[in-house]
Order: sequence, then structure tokens, then C-alpha cells
Amino acid sequence: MKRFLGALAIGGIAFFVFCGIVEYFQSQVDNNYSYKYWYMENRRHKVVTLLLGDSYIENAINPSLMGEGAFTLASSSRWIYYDDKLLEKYIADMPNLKQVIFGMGYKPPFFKSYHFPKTDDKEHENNEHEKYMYEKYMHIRYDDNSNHWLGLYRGFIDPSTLIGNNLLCDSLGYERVDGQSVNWQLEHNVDSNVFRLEYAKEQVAEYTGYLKDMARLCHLHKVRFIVITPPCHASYIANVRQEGLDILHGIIDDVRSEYPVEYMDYLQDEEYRADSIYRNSSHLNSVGADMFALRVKKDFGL
Amino acid sequence: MVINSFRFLAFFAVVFLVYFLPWMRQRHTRQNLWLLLASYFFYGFVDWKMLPILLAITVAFWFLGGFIRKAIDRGNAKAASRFTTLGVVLGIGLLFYFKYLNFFAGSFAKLLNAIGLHVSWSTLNIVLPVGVSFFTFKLISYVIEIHREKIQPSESFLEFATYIAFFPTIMAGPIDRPGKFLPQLRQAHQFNYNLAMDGCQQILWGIFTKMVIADSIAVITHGAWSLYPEKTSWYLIYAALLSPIQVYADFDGYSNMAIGVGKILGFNITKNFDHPLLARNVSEYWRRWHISLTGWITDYVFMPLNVRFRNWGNLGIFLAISINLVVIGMWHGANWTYVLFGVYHSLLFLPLILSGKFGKNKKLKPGRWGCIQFKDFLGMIGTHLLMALGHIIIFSAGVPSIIRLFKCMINGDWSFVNPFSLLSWYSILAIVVLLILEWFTRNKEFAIQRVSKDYTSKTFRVVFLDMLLALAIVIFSASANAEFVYFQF
Repeated sequence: MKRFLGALAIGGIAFFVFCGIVEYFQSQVDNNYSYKYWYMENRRHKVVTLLLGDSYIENAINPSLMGEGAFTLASSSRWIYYDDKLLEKYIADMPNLKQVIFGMGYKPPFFKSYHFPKTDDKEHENNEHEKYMYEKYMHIRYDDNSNHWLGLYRGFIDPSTLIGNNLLCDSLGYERVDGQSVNWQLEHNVDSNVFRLEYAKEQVAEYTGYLKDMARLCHLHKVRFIVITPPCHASYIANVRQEGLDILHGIIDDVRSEYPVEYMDYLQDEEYRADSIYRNSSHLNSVGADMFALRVKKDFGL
Repeated sequence: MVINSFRFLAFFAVVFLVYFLPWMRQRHTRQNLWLLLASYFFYGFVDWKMLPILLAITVAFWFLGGFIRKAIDRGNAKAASRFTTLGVVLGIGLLFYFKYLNFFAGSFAKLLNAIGLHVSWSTLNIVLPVGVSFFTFKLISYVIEIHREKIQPSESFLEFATYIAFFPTIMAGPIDRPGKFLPQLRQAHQFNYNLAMDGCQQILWGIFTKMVIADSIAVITHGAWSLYPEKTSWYLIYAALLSPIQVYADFDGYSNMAIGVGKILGFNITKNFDHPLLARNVSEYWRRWHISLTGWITDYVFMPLNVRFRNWGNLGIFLAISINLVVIGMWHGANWTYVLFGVYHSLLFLPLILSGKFGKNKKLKPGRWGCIQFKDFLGMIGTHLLMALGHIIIFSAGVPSIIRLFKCMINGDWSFVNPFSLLSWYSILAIVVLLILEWFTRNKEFAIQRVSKDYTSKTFRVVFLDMLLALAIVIFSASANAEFVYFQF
């Protein structure tokens, strides 16, 4: 028995030491999160236009066409909580910042899957992954009790990142996506399956709260706060509900009642009808991102 | 509390340490009582509301076993048969109520509606007790074995209840027979270092196949079975081809974990798989797959039917096999897809029966350089393809879904999908390693077992290799842990 327990103890200790080494190496690898964190820690004073939001902005606007000092801090699958926390962390120490552009897609305010942070349901695995990435690489915890930095324990370590580079964005934080994915027009069907307008009440209140806080921070530091809804393909728009659009616009009206917000809704804009500018039904590809960057720049006089 | 979780690890650590305390090792009754309490805690942890059902049915069968023996002793064969029949009916009735009542009543109502008799059937809200398919079969075999005078009824209720509720196997088997398991509860277990180390190796291998292989493939197969209209033809083909490997890695993984846990406690649990990916035809496949279930069905369903149909020649054999396989299909659950699965597999037996090759499998012999012989290899590929088709049937949501899925596969988008874009390189590597080890470790109980089963020498090397394997599991396991496939059955 002693021999058995001894073997288990030796194996267990060695195992945990190795796990610690893997965790350390994992924290040193480059990825979009670590790069954007590094940029904000070291170059934030150069930023004039800060782009925030999820993939609807990260892939939809090419910051190199937005004028000097544009940087994309937006990141795929991000819940607005992290936008607010990132802005709160850096805005006071960004002397050249003139405007913050936040992307508000049609989906996030009522999308159950990864934008519903207060549940442990398996369906929200992405949300757990998000907590891990922000905690490990951007040093932002979801709340005081959040403990997500152990990637091995949570199964979030992708072995390919241990031996390779996972940095997909360019030096301005832009992740370029070319061409179209397979079955790209079908993806709206999947999207429509996960829409849960019934969650809207609780979700929208939380979303509005964070958006309002971002508007407050911008107002406090005399920075323009611009909100845009990026364009989507006709096949996606076919599934958009008027009820949802009313909620979306209601959020802006609510924020505007307290703080200045400039808003443009490009969701159904006629200029973005061509198939060739979409990666999938709800995301622009690099051709679309160039077009859209120039349009936003012009519309808001950047 | 799944077996590959930290919660189970903590639970088992307590069970193990108390089980082998010197005071406990003095008497088997103390160890059995502790095992029973642990097993009921384990079962109640999943769903405590089902515990009274488990307890009640255990009491009922324990008394039935005693009644059968008494009737035999008194020379009252009729009474013994009646009690046995009562036990079988009770066991099947339990299964029928929990698993099939809604299905049969719903199907009957549909049939009546189809012929113009409008009836409505409101589905009962019946919650399926976890592991009911497994422990019911243990109970039934207990009464049958007593009736056949192969075993004596258990004199101690504690012993019998521990056999039925034994926590490593209650959720998803293997289905241990009373003749093999009950005697193990009649002696105090002393700690056996070699057996425990062997158990640890087996658990580790089980976790590896489950978390690294099965869970990685599960992402693809789940997508295929539920979202097939949106998938390309190649995607669906890959899913079908990978599904037998996924289910094997999943269920064999679970079985290895359960058997390994049993070994640490000093028990020998029935083997559940014998390298089914090496099967050269469907007959061999069923001898290698889910052995504890197929063995049970063979003994209690196939053999009596075969005797009954013995004068009917090939037709009799085919009928016995068909009934056998439909029962196996239905055991999985209440859906016409399971019936169809049984029918499909019985049809696969036809060529073997007609050619006289049924039950005449030659032993696998290695060819040049110890590799598989080409003829055998072709047989394995052919069997795998047939199993893949069977998986489309069993995992579709219903019979119409099977047809729709096949339509999507044939008429869908045939643009090529690179298999490396679906699975990570390390998942593919792990699958290849599994397939190679299947062949080269075919004479072992599990792939990483030491040939001598002696772990007293070179302990450090074993521990070091185990640690590396554990690390590989942690790093390469799929991020989304899928539930064990056989938990749904």
C-alpha cells in the first residue's frame, strides 16, 4: 500500500510540476489578446481612434484606412463587459485619443450563446473560454471571484499554440479575413436558431448598462463616442426581426438620454449588397472591410 | 459525478483509503457495507430520487432468488419456474415502463390514427433512472442463474445489494454476472499492488481514449447527426467513418476506467471489448463488441431460441440471430431506429449463414513482419464500412432522418473538405496510434498493460510514462467534454 501511495505521490507531484511549466509557456505565447494587451500597455499614448467591439468590428474595419493612430482593440466573440473594462483601464492615460468607435451588431444584445456571462450552462463554453483569455492574457478578471487562468484545468489550451504562433492580427490589431467560407449564406440559419428574444429583457438591461458606462467614460475624458451597426448580407437580413431592431435602437436612445453618442446603422445599407464583400452572411471580408473603413471615416469626418 | 472528473477522484480516494483500513480488511462484511454505502452515495449523487427504486427492486429480487432456491429444494419445479418468470417479467417490466412505455403507446396511437381511429396519447413524464438498462440485466441474470442451478442465492442481502449497485459499473456496465462477481464479495480484499497498478494503467488508458480521441471526434459526429442539412457530403462521410471509432473509444474508455477502479479495490470485472476494430466480419464484430451485453443476450435469448429453431436449418439460425440483434438494438432505447439497427445487422449475417461461415472465424494470425495479413485487412475495412452505415441508422433522430441524412450525403455539396481541417493534427495522430495499437496489443486487455502484469520492478519507469500520458491527456484532450455515449442507454 505504501509503495502504491508513494508511486501515486511521485507521479502526481511530477505531473503538477509539468502542468505548471506548460501553463507558464502558454502564458508566454503570442496571440491576438497578448499582442493587443502589449500594444495598449506600451503604445496607447499614440492611439487617436480606438475601435472596440467583437468580430463585427474586428473584421469589418481596416484601421490602416482610418487615418493616423487608429487601433483595433476589438476582438472576436467579446461580450461588452470587456470593452467597458478595457476602456475604463486605459482611457485616462490616452492623451491623443479623439474618438472611440464601438460596433454594436444586431446579435449581441440578445444572443444567448457566448454573450450570456452569468450562467454555467455547457452551451456557454465560449464564455468560459473568453474569461480565460482575458484573465490570462489581458489581466482582466470577470469578477473578483473569477479564477480562469488555469488553461490546462479548464481544457482551453490548444496544443498547436504551444509550438506555434497564434497571432493572427496585424500591427494595428486588424484580423484580415479573405474570401468566403463554405456554405457562407447558410450560416444565418444557424444564427437564427440561437436567437433568443425572450432573453432580451435581462440581457439588454446589462448591455445598456455597459454601453452607458462607456459613453460616460468618453464624455468624462472629452472623447467622441461613436456607435455603429455594421452591414450584413441580404440572407442574414431576411432573418432580422423588426422587434429586435426596435430593441437595438432603443438601447441607443436610452444611452443618448444621458450621454452624447453618435450612431449610424449600416445593417441594411444598400451599398453593401454584393456577395463578394462578405466572409459569411454577417461578417465582411477584407474587401468589405476596406470599403467600410473608408465609409465610416467619411461619415464621421475622421 | 462522471468517472473521469476530479469530483470522482476525490470520492474514490476516500472510498479507497477507508476500504483498505486494517479494521475494514479484517472482515468482508465491513468492506461490503462500506462499498454499498459508497455505491448508494454515488448513485444518489446523480439522482437521489431514483435510490428508493433501486433499493426496492434489489430487495424484491433478493427475496425472489431465495424463493426460487427453496422451490427447487422442495422439488417444486413449477413454483421455481413461476418465480423465475416473475423475476424476468418484473425486470423487463421495469425496463418497459421506464424506457419503452411512451414509445409503444405513442406508436400505437399513431397506428390507430393512421387507420382512422382518432385517439390521443399524452406522454407520461417518466424519468429514466440512470443505469437502469445495466442493473436490470444483472437482476434478471441473478434469478435465471439460480433457476438453472448455476449459482446459489446470496444469503446476505448486503452482498447482493453491493453486487447490484457496485459503483464503478452501475452507470454503464460492464454487466457482471452473479456467478463471477458474488464470490468476490465473500472474501475480505487485501491490497494487491500489482492489480492496483494494473488498474491505474487501465484507467489512464481509458481516460486517454475517451478524452483525447472520442471527445475530439464527437464534435464532428454531433454536428453531422444534428445539423446534417448544413453539412457537405464529405463531412457526413467523414463523420460516419469516424463514428465507430468514436463510440468504441468512448465506451471502451469508460469500461477501462470502470474495470480499473474495480481492480484497485481488488475486483475482477468482466471484459467489455476485445479489439472490435480488428473484426473481419459482422459475426466476429459482435463477439468483440460490448461483450458483457452480447454474452448476456446470447445466453438468455439466442441460445434458447437456437434450440427452439434447431430443426429449421439456416432459417432457424437467421431467425434466432435477428431476434437477438433486434433485442440488442432495442436495449439501447425506444426508437424505431434501434429496431432498424437490429434488422440491418441481422441482414449482414445472411451471407455468413448462407455460405456456412457463421461461427467459424479463424484466429487472427500476423503476416510478414508481424503486420496484418492483406486478406484480413480487407475484411476489417469492409466490416468498418458496414458498421459506419449502422451508426448512421442508430444515431439518427428518427427513421425519416436516416433517409434525409442519406439524401444529404448523396445529393449534397460534394466540394472536397480536407479532413485535417476538421480534426487537429494531434487528434488524427491519436487515432492512428489507437488503430496501430489495436493490432499490436491485441493479446492484451488494454493497450498499455505490462505483458507480465508485474509492476513491482521498474516502478519509476512506469510512473514516469504514466505521468507523460497524463500530461498528454490534459494537453490534448478536447476542450468540450462530451457525455459518455452509453449513458443515454
